[in-house]
Amino acid sequence: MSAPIRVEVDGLGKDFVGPDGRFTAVRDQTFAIDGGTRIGLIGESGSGKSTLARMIAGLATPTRGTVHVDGRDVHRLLATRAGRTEHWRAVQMVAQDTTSSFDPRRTLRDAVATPAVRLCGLTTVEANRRVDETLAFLSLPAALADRRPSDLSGGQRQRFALARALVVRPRLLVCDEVVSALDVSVQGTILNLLKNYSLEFGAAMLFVSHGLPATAFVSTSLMVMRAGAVVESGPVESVVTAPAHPYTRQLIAAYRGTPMAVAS
Amino acid sequence: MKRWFARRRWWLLRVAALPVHLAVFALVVFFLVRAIPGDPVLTVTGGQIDPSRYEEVRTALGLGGTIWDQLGRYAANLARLDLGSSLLSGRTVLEEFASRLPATLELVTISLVLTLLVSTALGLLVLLRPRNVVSRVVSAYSRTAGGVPDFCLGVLFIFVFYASLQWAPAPLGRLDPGMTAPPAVTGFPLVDALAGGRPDAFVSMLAHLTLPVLVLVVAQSAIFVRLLAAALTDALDSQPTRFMIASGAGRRAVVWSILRRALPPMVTMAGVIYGYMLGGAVVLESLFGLGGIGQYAVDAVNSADLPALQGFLLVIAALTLVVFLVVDLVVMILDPRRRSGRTEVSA
Amino acid sequence: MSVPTAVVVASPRPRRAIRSETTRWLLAVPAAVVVLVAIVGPALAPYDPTRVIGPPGREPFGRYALGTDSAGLDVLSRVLVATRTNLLIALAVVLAATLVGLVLGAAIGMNESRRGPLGTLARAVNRFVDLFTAVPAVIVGLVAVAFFGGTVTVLVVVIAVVLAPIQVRLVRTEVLRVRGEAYLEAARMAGFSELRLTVRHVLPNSWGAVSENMPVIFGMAVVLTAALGFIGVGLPRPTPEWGSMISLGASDAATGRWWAAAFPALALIVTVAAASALGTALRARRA
Repeated sequence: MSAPIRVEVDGLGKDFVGPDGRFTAVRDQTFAIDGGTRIGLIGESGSGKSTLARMIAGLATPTRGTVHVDGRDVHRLLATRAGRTEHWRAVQMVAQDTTSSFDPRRTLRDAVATPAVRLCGLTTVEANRRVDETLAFLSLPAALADRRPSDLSGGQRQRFALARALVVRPRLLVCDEVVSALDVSVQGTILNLLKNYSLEFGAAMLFVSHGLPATAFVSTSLMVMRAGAVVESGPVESVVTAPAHPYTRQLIAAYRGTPMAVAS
Repeated sequence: MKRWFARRRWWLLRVAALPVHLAVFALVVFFLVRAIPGDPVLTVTGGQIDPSRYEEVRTALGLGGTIWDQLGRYAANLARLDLGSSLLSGRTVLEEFASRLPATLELVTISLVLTLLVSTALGLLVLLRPRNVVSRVVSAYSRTAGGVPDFCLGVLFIFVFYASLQWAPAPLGRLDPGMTAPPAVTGFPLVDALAGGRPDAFVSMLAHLTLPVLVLVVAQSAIFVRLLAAALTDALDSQPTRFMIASGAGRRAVVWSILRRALPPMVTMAGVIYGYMLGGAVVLESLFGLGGIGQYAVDAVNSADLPALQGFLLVIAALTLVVFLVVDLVVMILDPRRRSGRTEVSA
Repeated sequence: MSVPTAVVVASPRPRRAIRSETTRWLLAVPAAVVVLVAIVGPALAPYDPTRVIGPPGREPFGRYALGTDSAGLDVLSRVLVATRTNLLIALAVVLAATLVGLVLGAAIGMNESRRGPLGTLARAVNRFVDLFTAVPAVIVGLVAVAFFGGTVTVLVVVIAVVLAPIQVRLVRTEVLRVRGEAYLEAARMAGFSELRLTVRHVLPNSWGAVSENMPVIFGMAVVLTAALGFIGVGLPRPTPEWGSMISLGASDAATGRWWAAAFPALALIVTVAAASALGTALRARRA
């Protein structure tokens, strides 16, 4: 496997301008993600966790600060064609399943094979083999790949979205609420697949979710976010058993006594 | 002070945009004239011109000197509201329009008011009694919206109401032949007839206006009823209306609330229809010989009166921009909800 | 949901949804007929449409199938030949306006929320397109054709420019919709540039709505061409063209001779209705 990734987030912040003035979604945050670690980013909706994740992935432009992947400024990298290829080969993101996660006019195989061809420089034959491997890894029947996205269930579509990201074997996978829209039974399968991918390929992961149990299950460490800032971070064990910030305590208390608390 | 501006930011920006918009249009017209292929002087004069007059016409067209000189003079003239002089009459274009615009506005305004009244009544009828015979006819007709052009209706009406039934006067002007026009005071023919104490002229003018107004109302209400039906249906489908119906409000109250809810889009539509009618008036004024700026423009085409045409485009553009500004402001008063979209800030 | 049925029915949409395949095909029939006339019509014209072939003002259904106009030209021959002219102009307008719509609409839609000069330019162009639609089309057409001369090329360019904003706005709306779709982000992560993204995903997914609007633009182009011909800035007489024929026939109609204006007007109205029916058929196909 290729070298573990190193992501450095430095003073990263983003503002939005609305009718009631400037609004800071992410206050200048600084931290690092190392290869092989799986960071769970939790917080209530509107806490800025999605915006932070999207900036790290390179899909949103920061107002302040930088993201460096392996020492190179992501947002400068994305300005050139070669830089885009390099960046997206290392970093991929999967978002919450929506009906629009695939182009309705193209087959799923086409959607999954395209990144492999464009980013890894594979030939069509190689790319198709890579697609089949990836589908097998995600236990998706290859026959489904020739269907249209609208023929599939949400869970299947979400696994195809994962396949599209994993087909280039990214060294950092950013997941934004990937299981939130799915049935609990499907959630478990996908969480296992994600964990397996990270273990098998030594990839880092940034797992954004508002649900503590799923996040704790997948991650090696947790970051708790509130009002645009990370208020607490550390290994999953210590954050869950000895939360330092009042908000974290409140969050964990909310799960106490539920069956899922036992599972984590 | 800062807060005062902040709170009125939208209004100030919207009003301040008008001169900018006018300037953009003026610039487009400027370059449009300069894009005329060949020698505009020859185009305008039909190729026959006394060499001694050549420079005069060229200057009249604002074509002397470099393009920057031309632009500078053009801007300076516009700032003084000087639109140049008509090549045909020698009068200034502004004078020509000032004396003719009221007649056109009169035609358009009467037609617009009638269209709004008729269409609102018909739209409500279609909404409330969809199985009524009139409703069926109206909704079938409104579906052809714009399909029967105003000038076809004009010819049809002339054939039916003048040539066949002899109900309408000949489509040859605003007054019966032999009648002298009342002195122009306001420029609005009907108002002048009343002010000049000429009830006979007033009645004759009304008779001559009937057919063109009818054409505009019939042609435009098809579009308006259709847009109105959509606006009313949206209002009907809205959550507040559903809530009203669900909580057992009376039919009359529901209809009033739907009308109130549909009012802002109706005002916008009225602005759009006003533009359509202005275009329709241009076509109909020549057909019915009504004078006005439309007929003036068509005559200017035939005599290749370039300054007059350029002025015509500028006057119409200014007029429609002002109408749209008023529409925007009225809609804002009626419906002050603003889209609360946040835009991102990127470095 | 408890809306009284009486009001629900009165939606502006057709009351009965067009369900059957047959109905859809039937809607396309009038359009086919008009196109057929445009193709073979001129060959069927009994007389030279630009020459005096008989006494003026002859009644229809006699020696001259649709009568003669006030100059003694054969109305049938002129209507047949004019059909091709008017249809070709409208067709060229639709293609040109849609092309402009796709390019400009996509350029505006993809850039307007950007910061920097490109975004400012996109917003400015968008604002201008909005303002331009405010000025009545006939008036812009009247002045522009008067400036540049009444030739087929000028008519096509002027009418296309006047109608293109409608397609621009439509494409922009569609682009804004598609731009928010999640698959666009996925394509971005496959390393596509914004331009490639637009060509590969945005435009194909906007095409449906744009193509369904083409018959509407066609109808407007037909009416506008005729309106300009009617006020006398279209093709020079005696070129057969519906608008100028109706205009010439109008003075006949005032004296009771209806045919010189009625037949070209009928051809015009049938064509517009056919285009409108075709549009309905296209929309029904997708619904």
